[in-house]
Amino acid sequence: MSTSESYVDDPTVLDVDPLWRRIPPSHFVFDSNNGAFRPSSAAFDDHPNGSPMSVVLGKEVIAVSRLPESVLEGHQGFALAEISAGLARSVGQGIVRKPEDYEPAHAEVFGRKTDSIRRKLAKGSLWVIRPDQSRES
Amino acid sequence: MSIGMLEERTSADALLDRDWGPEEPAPQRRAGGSSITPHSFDSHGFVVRWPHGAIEFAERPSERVLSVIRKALDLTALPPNWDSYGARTIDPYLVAGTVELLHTLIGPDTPLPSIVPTSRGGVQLEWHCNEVDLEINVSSPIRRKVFFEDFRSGVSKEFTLTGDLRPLLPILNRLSQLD
Repeated sequence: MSTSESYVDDPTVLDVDPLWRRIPPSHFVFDSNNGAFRPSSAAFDDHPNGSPMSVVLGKEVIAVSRLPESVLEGHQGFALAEISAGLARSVGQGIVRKPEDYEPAHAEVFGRKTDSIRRKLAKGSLWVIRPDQSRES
Repeated sequence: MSIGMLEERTSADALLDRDWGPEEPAPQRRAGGSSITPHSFDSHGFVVRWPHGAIEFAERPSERVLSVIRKALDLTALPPNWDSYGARTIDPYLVAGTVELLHTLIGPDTPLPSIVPTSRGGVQLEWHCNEVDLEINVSSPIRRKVFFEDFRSGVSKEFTLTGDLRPLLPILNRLSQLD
């Protein structure tokens, strides 16, 4: 569990809960060691202005009968990757709910994101919508 | 260019921070891709022209190297917020540094890297092949953060280079399966 300024990890986001992150086409990398495309470590960084990494709580999206594709609306060619809240916490991150008008399931993953941590998040991610499944939105 | 060329470059040849940047304000960025054209400034010279200026090479890069140079140059066409999370545009000086790095590192046996923009405006070169992970982050004109993991030997290293690229030689040999 991590705390950072006003951020406190929310225990109501369970370790098994999925955190979804949009992946732009420029962050698809082919890992021939595993024979598949995966997100680059560069895809799991905080906002350039210093605010924590944005994610969408997948469970909240599904709970209101939204499709995962709704998270990619307006983002042509993007894919959707998932990390578990438990993975984020295992590398010293915390999760805080931060609903927005444009995304009620919005949350932030806070904590220092070293290169090593970003690599672990990338390697531990799974596709919700793969690059070859992404379509025009 | 072979990996042997890397051995000829010394820290004295490396560009310093003061060598980067235009003497006049950078030209306004134009939409569209880069232009790679041959240009004779001496019997062997080669120039890559792009909206932010020109990059000169002592000899013409191979088509393999040119293919990744094009990808690097095209990163400067990414608009603000290209990742949907507020990403910055890619710094042309860091792209120029990446082009220099590509020209130096990629020999005929070197696998081609993925050219990845970072949300902070830098560039990351990534190789994930031959049981190796290698990432080189270009976040300043002369500092390159390197991560290397060899799944065959279990060796993992992280270090920063500030000019002399020779520590990369054994890593590139391993990546190219020359070991």
